[in-house]
Amino acid sequence: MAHSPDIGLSRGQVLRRGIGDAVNIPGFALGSTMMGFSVIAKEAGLNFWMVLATTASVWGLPGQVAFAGLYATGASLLLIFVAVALANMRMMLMVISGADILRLRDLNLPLWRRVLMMHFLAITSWTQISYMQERYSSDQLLTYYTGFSLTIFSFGMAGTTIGFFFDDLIPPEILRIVIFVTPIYILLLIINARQTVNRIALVIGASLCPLFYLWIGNWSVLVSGLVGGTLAILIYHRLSRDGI
Amino acid sequence: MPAFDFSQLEAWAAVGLAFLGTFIWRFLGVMLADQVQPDSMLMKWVNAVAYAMVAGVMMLVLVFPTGVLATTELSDRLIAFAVGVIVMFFTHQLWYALPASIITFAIVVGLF
Repeated sequence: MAHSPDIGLSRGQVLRRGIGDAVNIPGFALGSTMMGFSVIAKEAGLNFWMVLATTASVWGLPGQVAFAGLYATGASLLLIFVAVALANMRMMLMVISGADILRLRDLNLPLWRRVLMMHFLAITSWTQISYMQERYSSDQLLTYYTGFSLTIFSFGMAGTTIGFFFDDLIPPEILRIVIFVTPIYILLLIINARQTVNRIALVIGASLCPLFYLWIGNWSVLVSGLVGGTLAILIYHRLSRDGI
Repeated sequence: MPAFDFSQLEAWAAVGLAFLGTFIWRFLGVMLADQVQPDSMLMKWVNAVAYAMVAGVMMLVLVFPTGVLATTELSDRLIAFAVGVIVMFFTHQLWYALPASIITFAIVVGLF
């Protein structure tokens, strides 16, 4: 991340930076995570095209894992739908936030194009553009996002394919370490959040979610997110008002 | 092979529902994005909630993993995470903190 902030870069240069930053730890980590998903989904009894279609169309790991896990237990279609919807509900807030970071409202794009662009927004690319937003102008950031998110997506599809066909070739001792990279990468990246209010929010969310999970299962993401975000806003304004 | 007998059609329907269960949120997000004013208190709240949710989801992966990650001990995962956070706290460099955390994890799970 030794890039210097540079507003003077051309479109092509910014695109290459987006691709370059993805063909790095984020891409390989996410590819491995998708490999892990693919192994679970194969064991659950889905065929290759179904697994690939799940990665391509859902493109959100927690929902994919919830899907494969429930499918394996023979859960009803309704339960599958509800569980995936619950696990991926945070997409709505990430898309609102991501569209704001990318200034999509100023571009007057047709609805289908905005929906298509936001399809490629998942945790890794959202985290990346949040992190990069002060480095580039909004035009550049959109180009950066295009390069980054599409590259990450390609890695995810490749990881899904490799995981399905070569699941026996990767020793589990190695795979489990590689899969560990994605959550750690995301957590360490968001800990660096510039706004104090977001740092408070993520600490509360990270602390509450596993505790709530024991009690309310998949609802815990939604509840701890709402509690963490709201408390963070209240605490932050209290602190600013008191001049701390 | 699983013991359950979803037909091909049901299996594809399940994949379609998984897609739909995600698509609705992205679609709603795109629709609502224009309604929320930039730099407003509501946008700040949306951002804060998004951060809290992402942090929550990732902590769930660390604390209650599925698949091959579940073959490691909770204490090992948390120690490795803590090392990453501490290095990040002192250096503010992801490229020190991430390798420190991953190498710690490899050591505590006994790769070396």
